Amino acid sequence: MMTIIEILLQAFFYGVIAYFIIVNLSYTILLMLSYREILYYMRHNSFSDYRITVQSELTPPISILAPAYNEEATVVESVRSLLKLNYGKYEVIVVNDGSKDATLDRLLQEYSLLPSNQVYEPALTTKHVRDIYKSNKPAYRNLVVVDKENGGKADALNAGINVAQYANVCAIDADSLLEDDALQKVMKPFLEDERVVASGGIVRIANGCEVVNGRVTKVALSNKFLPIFQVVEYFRAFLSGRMAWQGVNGLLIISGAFGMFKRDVVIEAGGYNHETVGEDMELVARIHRTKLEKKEPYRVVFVPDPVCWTEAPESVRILSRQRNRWHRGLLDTLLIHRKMLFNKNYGVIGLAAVPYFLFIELLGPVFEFVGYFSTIAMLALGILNINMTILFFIVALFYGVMFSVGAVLLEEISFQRYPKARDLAMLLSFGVLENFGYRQITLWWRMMAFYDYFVKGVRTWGTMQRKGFSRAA
Amino acid sequence: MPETILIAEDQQHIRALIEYKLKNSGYAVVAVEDGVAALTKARELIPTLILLDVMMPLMTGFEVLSALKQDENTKNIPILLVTAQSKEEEVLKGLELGAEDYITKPFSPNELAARVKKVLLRHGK
Amino acid sequence: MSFQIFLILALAATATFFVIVISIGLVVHKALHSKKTQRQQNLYTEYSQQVAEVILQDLPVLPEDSTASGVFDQYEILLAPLKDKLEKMSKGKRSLNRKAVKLALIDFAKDVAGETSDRLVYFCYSLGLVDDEIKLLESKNWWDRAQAAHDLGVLKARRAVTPLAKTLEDENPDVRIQAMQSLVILGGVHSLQTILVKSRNISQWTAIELSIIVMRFKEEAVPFLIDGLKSSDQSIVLFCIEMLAEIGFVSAVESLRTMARDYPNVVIRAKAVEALGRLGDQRAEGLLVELLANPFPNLRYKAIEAVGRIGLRSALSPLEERLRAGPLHEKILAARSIAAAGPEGISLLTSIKNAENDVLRGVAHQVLEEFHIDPSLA
Repeated sequence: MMTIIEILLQAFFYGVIAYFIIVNLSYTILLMLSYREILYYMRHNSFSDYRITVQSELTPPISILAPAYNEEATVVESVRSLLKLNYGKYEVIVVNDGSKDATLDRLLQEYSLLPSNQVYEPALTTKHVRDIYKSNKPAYRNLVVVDKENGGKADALNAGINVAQYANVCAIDADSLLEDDALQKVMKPFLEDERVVASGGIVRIANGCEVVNGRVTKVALSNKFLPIFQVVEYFRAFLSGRMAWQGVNGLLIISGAFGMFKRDVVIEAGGYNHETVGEDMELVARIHRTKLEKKEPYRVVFVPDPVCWTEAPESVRILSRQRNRWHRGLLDTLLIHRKMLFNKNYGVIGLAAVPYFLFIELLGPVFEFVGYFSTIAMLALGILNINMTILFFIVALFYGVMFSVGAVLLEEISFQRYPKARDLAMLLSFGVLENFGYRQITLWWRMMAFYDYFVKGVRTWGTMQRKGFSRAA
Repeated sequence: MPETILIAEDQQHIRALIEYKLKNSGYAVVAVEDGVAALTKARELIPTLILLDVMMPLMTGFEVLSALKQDENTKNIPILLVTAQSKEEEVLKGLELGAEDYITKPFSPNELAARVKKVLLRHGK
Repeated sequence: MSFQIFLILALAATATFFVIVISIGLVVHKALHSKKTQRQQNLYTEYSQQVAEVILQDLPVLPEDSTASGVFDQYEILLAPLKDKLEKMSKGKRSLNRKAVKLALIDFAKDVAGETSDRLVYFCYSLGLVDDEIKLLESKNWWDRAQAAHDLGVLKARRAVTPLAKTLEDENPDVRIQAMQSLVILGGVHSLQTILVKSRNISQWTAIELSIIVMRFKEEAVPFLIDGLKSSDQSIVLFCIEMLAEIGFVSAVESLRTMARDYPNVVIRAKAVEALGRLGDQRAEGLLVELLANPFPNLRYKAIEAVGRIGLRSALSPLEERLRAGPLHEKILAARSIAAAGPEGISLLTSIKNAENDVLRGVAHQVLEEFHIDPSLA
C-alpha cells in the first residue's frame, strides 16, 4: 500500500518538475527572441522620419473602425480626437451598436450628421444596419456614423468593415488614446513588406499618466497598486511575449484596442466572430488558419513602439470580470481552432504557438491550482516533504521574478518611457510583490473562467455588453 | 550699452553657434532652451530683439510669439523666427502673427548676423 | 530523494543565476548608460562650442587671385589646436573624443549653409572623418552602414559618391534608402539616374521616401523619370509613373500613352492609365475611352476613374454601359465619372434614379448626393 502511494507521489513530483522546466524554458526562449526582435526594431526605425513620410501622396488611406455602445458621456470627445490624428488620408467609422442611451443623438448633433444614401451591400452579414450618416460640414467629411441594431462588439466591427471604403482597416476601442504617429507606425510594416496582412500595436496603461486633449503628455506610474501590477503584466505579455512570437510569424493575438488589417483578408477569413468573447484573438487565429490552408505567404506583425494607451481597471470587481472574459476568450479560441494543435500543416502556429497558448497560458492556472491544492492535501496527510516544498516555491518565485525583470529590462533597453529611476524600481519591486497575492488572485479569476464557460455556459459578451477593455494577455 | 538679444532655441549646438556669432558681432546675448523660459526672459529683460525657434518643447515658437504680441510691454520687440522646414505655410503663419522676418535652416551664420543688423536698423537702434 | 533535491537545487541555482545576472545587467546598464551619456554630453557640449568658434572665426580676406588652397591653408590653421589636442590623447580616449567631434560636426552640418558649411566639410576631410565613414560603409553591421551612409550625405562628402553608389545595392533596405538620400544631397538631381538604374524591388515605404526626394526637384527630375520607365524592374517603373503623374509634366504623356496601350504587364498599364487621368491631357482621351471596355477589371476601373478625373462627355455611353453591367464597385466608379462629365452626365444619372433595378437606383442616389454635398468628391 505504502509503495503505491510512494510511486504515485514520485510520478506526480516528476510531472510537476517536467512541466515547470518546460514552462520556464519557453519563457526563456521567448525572452531571448524578444530581445533580438526589439533590438532590430529599434535600429530599423531609428532612420524613419514619420513627420516627412506622412505628407506623401503615396501613403495609403485607412479606415478607422470605432465601435460604440452606451458611451454618450465620452463619444463626442473620443471622435474629436480621432479626427485630429496625424495621418494623410483616413476616414473614421463610428459604429453605434444599438446603444440604449443618447450616443447616436450626441454624435448627430455635434457633427451635423445627416442620413446618407450610400449604397450598403454587406460583404459580411451583420445585424440590421438602420442608417449610415455623414456630415454636411467639410471639416467632418471623413466621419461616417453607422447606426445598427445591437449585436455585440464583433458584429459592430463587421458592419464597420462593410462600410469601410479603404483597403486597410484599423480596429480600435473608443476609449483608446492613440499617439500622434500611431497610424503611421502600425502602417509601416504593410508598406515595407507586401505579405503583411495584419499588424498590432502595443497597448500601454495610461493610469497615472497625464492626458491632455486625448494625448498622453507625461508618462508616470499610478499611485494605486492594481494598475502597477498590470503595467508589469503588460510588459511581460507585450514586450517579451508578442514581440517574440511575431519574430517567428506566430503571433496569435492582436489587441482589440488597436490593430490594423487588410480589409480583403479579414473578409476572406469571414470577419469577426460574434459568438465568442475573444473576437480579437479569434480573428487573428482564423487569419493564420485561412492563409496557411491556402498556402499563401503572409505575415502578422507586432509594433512594440508605444502607440496606444488605455485606462486599466482600478477596481477588483472590474478587473476580475476582465480577466475572466479574457480567459474565456482564450479558451473559446483554442477550442474553435483545436484542429491546428500539433498539426504540422500549420507550421509554427500548429507546433509552437497553439501548444504554448494551450498548455502554458490556458492550462497554466489549472496546473498551478492543482499544485497549491495538492500541497495542502499532502500537508494534511503528513506526507509533505516540507524542506523540498519550500525549496520548490523559492525556485518558482525566482523564475517568476526573473521574467518580470527581463520584461522591464526590454523596456529599459528600448523605449524608456518611464523617465524616473523611481518608477523603474517600483516596477521591479512589483515584479517581486505580485507573487504574493496578486498572482494567486488572478489565478482564481482565471479558474472561475473555466467554471463559467463549462458549467454556466457563459460564452459570449452577451447583448448587454458594457464597455470595451483592451486585452493584454 | 550694447543691444540685448534673446535667443530661444532647443538644440544646443545651434544655440551655441548663434550665441557665439552674435556675441562676436558685439551684442549682449541671453540664450534659453524652451518656449516657457523664452517668454519669462522676454518679459523680464525686454530685449531689443528676439530670435525664436519654431519647434521648441513646452511652448512652440508660434505660441510664444502670439503671447508676446498680446503683451503691452513686449509687443514692440522685433522677432526673427527660425524655422526648420522651408514650408511656406509655416513662414506665412509666423509673419501673420507679427514676426519681423524669418530665417530657415540650414542657414548661413553670416546671413543671420546681417539680418539681425538690418532688423535692428529698421527699428532705429 | 537525493536526486530530486539535487534537481531542485540545480533549478534554484540557475534561476538565481539568471535573476542576478539580469538584475545586475539592468542596474549596470542604466548606470553605465547614464554615465556614458553624461560623459558624451559633456564632451559634446565642449566640442560644439569649440567647433562653433572654429567655424565662425573671422578670417582675413584673401586677395582676389589666391587659389583654393590658400583658403584651405587658413582652415588648417584654424583647426590646428583641435588636431593637436586629439593627437596627444591615448588611443581609447581619442576615439571617444573624435566621436564627440564628429557628432558636433554632423549636427552643425545639418543646419548651416554658406561659407561656414564649406569650412565644416573641409574639417571633416582634414580630420579623417570622411574616410572613417567610407570605411564604415563596409561594416558588417547594417545599422553602422546605414548610419555612415546617412552621415556622409550630411557631411557633404563628395569623395563618397562612388562608394555610396555601390551601397545602393546593399542587402538592407534601410542602408539603401540612406545611400539614396545622401547621393541626392551630394550629386543633386543627376543622382536620380544612378538611383533609378541601380535600385531593384523597392518597397512601398522606400518609394515614399524616394518620392520625397523626387518632389524636391519636380520638373528637373522628369527626364530621369522618363528614362526610368525603361527599367526592367516593375517597382521602379511603377514609381516613375507615379512621380510623373504627381509632378504633372505633360511631356510624359506620349511615353505613358504607349505604356498604357502596349506594355506587357497589366499592373503597369493600369498605373499608366491612372497617371494619364491625373495629367488630363487631350492626347490620351481616345485611348482612355477605348480602355473602358478592356477585359482586365483593374485596367478598366482605372480607365473609368481617369475619364472621370478629366470629365469626358464623349465617354458617357461606354460609362453607362459599365454602370449597368459591372459589379457594385464598378457601378459606383462609373456613376461618379458620369456625374463628373457635367450637366449631361447629371441628367443621365437623374434619369437612372428611377430605374427598375434597386442597386442601380441606389448607386445613382448615392453619387448624386455626393455631388450635392461636395462636387469635388469625385
